[in-house]
Amino acid sequence: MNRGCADFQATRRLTRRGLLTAGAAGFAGLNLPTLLRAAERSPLANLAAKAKHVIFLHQFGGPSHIDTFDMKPDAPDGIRGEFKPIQSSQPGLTLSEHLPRFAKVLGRFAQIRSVHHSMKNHNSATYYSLTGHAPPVDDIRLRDTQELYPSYGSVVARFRPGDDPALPSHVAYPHILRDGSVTPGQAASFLGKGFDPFFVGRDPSQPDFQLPELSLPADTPLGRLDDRRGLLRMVDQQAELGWSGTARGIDAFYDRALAMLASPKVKAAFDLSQEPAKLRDDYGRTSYGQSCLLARRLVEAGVRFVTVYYAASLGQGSFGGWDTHGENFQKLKDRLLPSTDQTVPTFIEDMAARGLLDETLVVWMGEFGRSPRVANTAQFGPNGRDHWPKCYTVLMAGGGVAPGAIYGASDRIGAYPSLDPVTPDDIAATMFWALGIDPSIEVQDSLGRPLPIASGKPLTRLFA
Amino acid sequence: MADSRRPPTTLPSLLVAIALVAGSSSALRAEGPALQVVPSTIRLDGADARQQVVVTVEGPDGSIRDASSSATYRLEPLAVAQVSPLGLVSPTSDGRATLIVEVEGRSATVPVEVVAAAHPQPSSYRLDVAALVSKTGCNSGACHGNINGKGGFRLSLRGDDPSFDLASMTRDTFGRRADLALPSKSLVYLKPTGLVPHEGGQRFGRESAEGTALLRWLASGALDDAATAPRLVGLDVFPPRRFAAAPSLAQQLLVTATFSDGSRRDVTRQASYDVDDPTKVSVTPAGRVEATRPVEATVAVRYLGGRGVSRLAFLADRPDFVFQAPTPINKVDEAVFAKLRALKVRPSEPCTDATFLRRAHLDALGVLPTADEARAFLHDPDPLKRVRLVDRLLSRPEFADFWALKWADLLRNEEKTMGSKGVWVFQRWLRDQIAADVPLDLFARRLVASTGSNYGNPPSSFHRTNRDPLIAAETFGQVFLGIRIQCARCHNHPFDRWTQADYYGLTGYFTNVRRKAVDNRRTDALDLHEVNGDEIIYLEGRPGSAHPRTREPLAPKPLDGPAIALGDDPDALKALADWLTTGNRQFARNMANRVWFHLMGRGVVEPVDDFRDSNPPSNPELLDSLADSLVSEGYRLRPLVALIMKSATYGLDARPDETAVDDEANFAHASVRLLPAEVLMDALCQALERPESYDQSPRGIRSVQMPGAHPGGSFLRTFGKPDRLLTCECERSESTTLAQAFQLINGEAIRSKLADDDNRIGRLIRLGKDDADILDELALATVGHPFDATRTAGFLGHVAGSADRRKAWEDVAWAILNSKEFLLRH
Repeated sequence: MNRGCADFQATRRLTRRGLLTAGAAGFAGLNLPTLLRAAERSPLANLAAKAKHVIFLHQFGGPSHIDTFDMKPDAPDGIRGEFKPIQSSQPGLTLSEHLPRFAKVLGRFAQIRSVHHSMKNHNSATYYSLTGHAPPVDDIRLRDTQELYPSYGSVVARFRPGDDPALPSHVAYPHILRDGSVTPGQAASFLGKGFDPFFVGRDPSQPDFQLPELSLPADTPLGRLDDRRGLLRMVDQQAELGWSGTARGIDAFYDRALAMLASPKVKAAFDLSQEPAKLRDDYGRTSYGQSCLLARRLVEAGVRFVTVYYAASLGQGSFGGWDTHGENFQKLKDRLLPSTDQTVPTFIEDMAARGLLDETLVVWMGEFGRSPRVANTAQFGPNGRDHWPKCYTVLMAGGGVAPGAIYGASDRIGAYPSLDPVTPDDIAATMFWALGIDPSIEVQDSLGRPLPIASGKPLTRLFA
Repeated sequence: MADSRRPPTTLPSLLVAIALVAGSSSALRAEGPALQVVPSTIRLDGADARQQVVVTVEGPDGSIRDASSSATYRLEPLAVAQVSPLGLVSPTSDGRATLIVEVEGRSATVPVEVVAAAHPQPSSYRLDVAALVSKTGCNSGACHGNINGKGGFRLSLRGDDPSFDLASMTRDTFGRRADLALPSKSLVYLKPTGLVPHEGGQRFGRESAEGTALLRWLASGALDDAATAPRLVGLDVFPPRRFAAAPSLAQQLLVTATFSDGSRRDVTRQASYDVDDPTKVSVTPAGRVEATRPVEATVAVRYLGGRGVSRLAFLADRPDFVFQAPTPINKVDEAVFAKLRALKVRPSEPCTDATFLRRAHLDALGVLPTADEARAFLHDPDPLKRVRLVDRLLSRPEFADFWALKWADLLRNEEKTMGSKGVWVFQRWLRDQIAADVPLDLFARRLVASTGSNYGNPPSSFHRTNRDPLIAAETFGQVFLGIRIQCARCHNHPFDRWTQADYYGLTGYFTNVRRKAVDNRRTDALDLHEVNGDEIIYLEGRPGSAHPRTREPLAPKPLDGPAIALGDDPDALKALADWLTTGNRQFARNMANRVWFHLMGRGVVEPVDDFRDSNPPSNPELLDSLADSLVSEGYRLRPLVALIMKSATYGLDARPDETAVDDEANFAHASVRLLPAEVLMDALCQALERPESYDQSPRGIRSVQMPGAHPGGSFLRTFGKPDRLLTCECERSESTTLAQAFQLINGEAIRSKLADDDNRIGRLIRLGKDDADILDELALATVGHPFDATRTAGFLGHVAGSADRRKAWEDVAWAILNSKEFLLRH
């Protein structure tokens, strides 16, 4: 009956088997180009952070690691899958044949191939991937309450807000993730609504993409808004509530909202029509493609943390995310990999060309990987891969990350980490650390309990 | 208080380090300041015995302050004992002496007796080592007390389980942490003394009392003395409560432990201290509290299993302070003003009639006064019109709607668990209870003890929402007692006295509650959390639970009370309801505190659901008085609301006096806060005479009346309407956000209501009212008073200067609805 609190649960999940597997490591990965060992290093050393921004690309559903970046061509039939590896521009590094453009830019990324946890349900695993904190239960319907941790971007908005008050610190779009109910970890939770992301629930690939909040109706041109603002100032003077902190807080947000309404900078950042048509085509005229382009524009304008969700739904049908229980290979090569292969290389090259990559940490990940064993089920059909949180790959680039680095390794079938296991807690700590935020800073939850913003250790060896 | 696992034993005389002889402290009274020294006699037994003295100076005006560090100390004769400049007495040789304390020309004497001065004591694991592990922070949650330990070494959180800690220190990892042959090479010694690298840094020095005691214990075999050590039976903290006069910003504490063998011992240096606000107050290891500025502070003291509290107020330096306050109206004011007078803080002036009218409407009913009500009230010459207003408001039907909303938040009336019909049924029941002024004890009893159909017997919904015995117990503690017991789910509560046995004892009441869904029509077949349709609550089998660690069966037992003999009756819920509502002082205090919180914006205990010794009420007399009123009025809500709203305290202006600028906890001024989401929406609707329409609801229904957590639209969510997934007032967000500003500047709700031809503006224009009349009506209907000449001229000028009169009035209304005076309760 006693399930224990979240901390306790997280501890218990480190099963003896898991530890033994990880401990039995072996050095299978030694031939990899830049092998990094997870040596102990004080997390606070080298806090001279290079990153000023983070772009967090989340692939909802859970992308297969074995069919993309951590291929196992020598694994038995029924595990290695249909795809063949191809060489990338980085000598010794291979990846899926369905990522030919990605092959040319793979050397810009560091790969963490030993990420693992034990959450098998989307909402629990996704919450873990969006916050870096293990949820209290592994349940399909983990509910979004203020007992759970805030999103990365909300923590960043709290501890390292953007420099320009007319810009939101954290922008997230274009979907709200849900698996039945809203997936937790997408907002500020107990940090308070003031740290919620500026959420844009519209598809940037639509021709009429714009923000209603930033768009004044036809009968309220800026001049009329100015009149109203003048009247508002006048009426506020009679009440003389200026001594009140609450009143001043409202003023501050009004000033920001009105500044955003009036600022050409904000509107311009969201105006994708200012980009050359050719570049927009190169990114891909998809929701994901234009979202990544928008992420670049937002970072350029000064937004601190941008979260891009690949899809709103898991994608068990013919659209949506990476949940390839059935027809894994078909869905990957028809839809998921081509869109990724079009967008991400364009995005990363564009970032680099503009000098933004040096100061922006780009993170590409999902909530888990997919099972080494190819599954044939009555429910989902043949040739699927199931959820696999025990081992998967996360990509990072920019913001000081060593290009081409490989951190950790999976075993010969991609089932468990064989070297330097990493948890989502460590990924979280790494992002905060890269931005110059001490991961051990404590925040208070709604019960006043002091909790660290990240309980993992930053992967400092990833940084050049 | 003390750890019952330790059997009572006779204390070996050697362990009586210091005996504090009971008796009144010695004081010499003469002209000038009076001097008080605690303790009044000192007996030092053994070489390690120490005694802290606390010196207090009382000025001619009755003000008191600590002089322990400024006093001069002298011992006669010198050979017997020594005294430090901070008042710590230690033995030199056996004999008798006199401690002479001098402050500003006054002196006092304390007799000192030293015995066994040449004999160091063996260290006791249970008394000394266990205490120093807590004292030095080794077992804190951030260090080895973490559930995972740190660096492979784990201790029980805050020394919860000394036996576990002993095993960790001496047996774990093949005993490599304790080297009994070479004690000074033990890891448990090398790490905290910084002799080998330690992530936690140096916790104490090699030569420190802690280092010496630890080493001595290791040298003597690192044994457990659970069987022989005396049990702690009491912990006294001096001073327990004090208003310390300026300019003093420090206070020496004296912590005295009483043991099962009757001995007493100064443990000031062994006790651990926690303060409520570490940014303003700190405590040295020697028990000296130091504040950075005038502030109120609560110092929680822990020693072994014992807890104590010292409540200190360091007063601001206001030599010419004169207390002024409105005439007290009732006992609320007497309690509030007495505390303010002691703190040298002046309450604000009374607020204006217009402010009072608006505030009272918003707080009692959640609606704005109408223009006609405002006109009538402002022109009413009756000196008792505020009192009469309160009586009128409490008899209006909106009172029940509004207070039902507060309960619906707390009892989590939410669509997914309660179902689309269930939220209406439960909301109606809540409303009816309040409309009928059902006593809160009966109300609580119905919620806790009802079974049967949720539709037929709506209070049984309590067990529908709280679907797990653990959640039910936590909700019960939080809602009805104002106590958070959640921590004790996994380990004994680190800041309170609740143990896991307490937690699972309370859980036991709910373990035989069963639910049967009659016709569950889930909108999402996979979602096991969804219950849509009636559900029958019934009991099956025997109640009771098991201790999670020991696995011993636990009979249902209320917090702080004896287990209740149930006999053959499997219905423990009735017994629990009896315990809750029969002379339960904590229930009355909690309910009174919640009512006060809703009217004043802050609880006397704050947060309202966090009653504990280390979070005491800011004004205990006030809370007692409120609780007394609630009890004497038969636990009815309205008399208590009336008492508070009729007080002079409630009617104070929001703007603080210059002496009260830093004060939030003592109700020297009214609170300023954003209107709650539903009230704000209703206020916009009322101001513009355009109701909001909600799906599947009657036309004209107010947002306050809507059941459930998701009545629709983004407005309410943006303004903090809670999801009702937590049993906590804190779930209702009060923070202001950017999204709120966008909603009010440019949002759909305000835009459509402003532009609506049939709104208040349209009606007044069609009636042919002139601009002055329109402005008057608009002002009274929104902020409850006419605008002053400047504002009037400004608004009328804007309208006169605009080509489109209608649009100009929309601009004026927009400005008023966006003004702080409209958005805020003040």
